[in-house]
Amino acid sequence: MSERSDEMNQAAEVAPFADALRTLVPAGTAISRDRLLFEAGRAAAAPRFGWLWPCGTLLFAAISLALAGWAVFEERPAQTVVVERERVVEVRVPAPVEAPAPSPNLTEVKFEGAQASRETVQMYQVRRDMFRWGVALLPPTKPMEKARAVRDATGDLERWLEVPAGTLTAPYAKPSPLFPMMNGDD
Amino acid sequence: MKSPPPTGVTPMMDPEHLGFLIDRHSAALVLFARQWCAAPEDVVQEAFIKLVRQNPQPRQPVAWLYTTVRNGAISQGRSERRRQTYENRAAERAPAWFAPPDDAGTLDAEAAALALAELPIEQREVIVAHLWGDLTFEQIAAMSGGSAATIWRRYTAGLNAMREKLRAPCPNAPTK
Repeated sequence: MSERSDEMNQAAEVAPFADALRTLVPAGTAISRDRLLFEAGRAAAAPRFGWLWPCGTLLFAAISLALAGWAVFEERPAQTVVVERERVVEVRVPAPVEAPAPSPNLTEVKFEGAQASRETVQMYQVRRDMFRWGVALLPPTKPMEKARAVRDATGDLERWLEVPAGTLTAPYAKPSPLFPMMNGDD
Repeated sequence: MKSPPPTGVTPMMDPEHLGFLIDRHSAALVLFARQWCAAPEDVVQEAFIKLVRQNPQPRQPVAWLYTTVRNGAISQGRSERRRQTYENRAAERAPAWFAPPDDAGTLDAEAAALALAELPIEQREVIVAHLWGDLTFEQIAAMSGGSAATIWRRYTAGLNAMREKLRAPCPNAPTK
């Protein structure tokens, strides 16, 4: 209660001084009334969000510049040059193990049937021996030349004697066997 | 009967009302802004332009103007970055705060300005806003923060300090 009365007393004390102060007029201002009204009217007519487009343009321009700078000054890795070189690689593949081809059994001659003649048997025997021992085993051709020489001489003799051809016949020149065992003449 | 504004059009302040506000309060607003900054005219002019662009218009345009001027003046005062203390600056500008009185029996304008300039800023803004801005203590409290009682205490303390400095006689004091 006493506090409120003190406040009332203070208000009563300062009221005359406040009224005296109120009589003082603030100094004139440099504000032009007409110009302020003009500026206020122009501000009222201006669009409320007129700053939106300039700010948006500025923003996107800054983004574009940043992206351009990033694209230009981006640290790129060294460009890799690919050179194709042909290289022969030897791959050692173990040869497949194949069963060796069966060598012809040259030592054994089979005859089908019993109609094989003696000459055929001998021919096969000669061939077998040739495969086994080589071509040196072949019988010399000299006996054949000798037989031809004898036949020529027989022809000459028949012409000299003026006898029909074939009158004089040379005996069969049997080749001398190198290996008599081949013929079974043991 | 007044027709409502068309849809999409910002309701503008009446130019006559704006002119009245300028004529009635511009000088007091300049004095109020002068408490914080050195270029109060710019702050006051900007506040009037902001008032026109308000949508909707404030219910109490005078209180809104004082709040806007206070914020703008504080911001501008900070940006000025002067090395001198504000009290020294206010004392230097104090003689220009009030117009010379016509009546010789009133207070000395220069002395009153100097006494006002020596007060703390919290008391000065209350005195200026209440005496020359005709703001109530509730409006001042809403503007500067605090309660109306606190504002009133600042007001009375400031006036008592000024009266002591001006050595004005207390009307209730017993005469000897």
